Amino acid sequence: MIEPIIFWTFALIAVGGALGVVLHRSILYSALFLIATFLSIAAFFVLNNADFLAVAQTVVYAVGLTIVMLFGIMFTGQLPFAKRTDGKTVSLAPPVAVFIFLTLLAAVALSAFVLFPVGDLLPQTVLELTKEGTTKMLGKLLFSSYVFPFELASVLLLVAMMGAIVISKRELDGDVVMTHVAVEPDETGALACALNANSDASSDSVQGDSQARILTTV
Amino acid sequence: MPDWLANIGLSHYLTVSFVLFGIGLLGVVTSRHVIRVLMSVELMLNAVNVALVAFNNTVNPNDLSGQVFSIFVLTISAAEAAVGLALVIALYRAKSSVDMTSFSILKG
Repeated sequence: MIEPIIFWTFALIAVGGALGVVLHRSILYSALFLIATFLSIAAFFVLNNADFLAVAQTVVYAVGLTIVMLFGIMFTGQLPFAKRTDGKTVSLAPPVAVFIFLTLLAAVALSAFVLFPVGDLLPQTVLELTKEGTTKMLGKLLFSSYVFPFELASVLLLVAMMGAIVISKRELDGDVVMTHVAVEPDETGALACALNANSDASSDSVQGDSQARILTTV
Repeated sequence: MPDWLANIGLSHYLTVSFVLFGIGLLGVVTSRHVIRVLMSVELMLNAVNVALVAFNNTVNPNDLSGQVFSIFVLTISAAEAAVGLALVIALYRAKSSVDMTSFSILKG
């Protein structure tokens, strides 16, 4: 009888978090809502006999990917990250956090050691498959039936890593990337000129000039 | 307690998956911040993962092929996020903006 409670709780958190991702005004809070949604989806995985996937979801999505997203936000954002002018919210937040932490700690300790012995807490459908979980079967499948997509995925990850580095690295001085564009590479590099950079450059007149030359060349 | 509230089945997970996918699609279409678009894409991929795992557990729980597909979706979405954020940073360096409407220079 505990499965519906878990499902509806995490369904509410997942949908609310998704709405927060899309609708919240601040992009930073959207990233935090995204963590809530990812963790709720990990709970759905646990309810569906996918314990390995639940852990992978937590590690890859809720921690790794969200941190990368936050790095992206902080690299590109001009947001007031440390807005501490209002003393009211600052004084309210730590007691609430401590209260939630203590409540969760009490709930976990009570349920794990007093109310339910470990093993009886999960509903009957969970871990019915094998007592040791799904990791062993997933490993066997990945290296037998799906070994070709597995290797392909590894190549894809390598290519994506190199691509991300090449795309996001800063252009060196005199490093002419697009040689067919008849623009002298200035400080931002030829690629930035080809992308019609209107900032980050030394002067606007140079930019307008190079843009005009790109237009005439292309 | 009504039946649909107490007995959780495949249709419940598919409904949640559909709702998450719809919200992600809404975010992709409507948001103007580039990183929020990336987050919405991740939301859609996660909704697909929920559907895959729920189908796997309901239709053929002894095979786990759906979970393997879900692992591949997870891998590809990680690669997509890395490349997407690199593109966002490159675009920000070029245009000094993360607004989607400032990247519409290819519009004819």
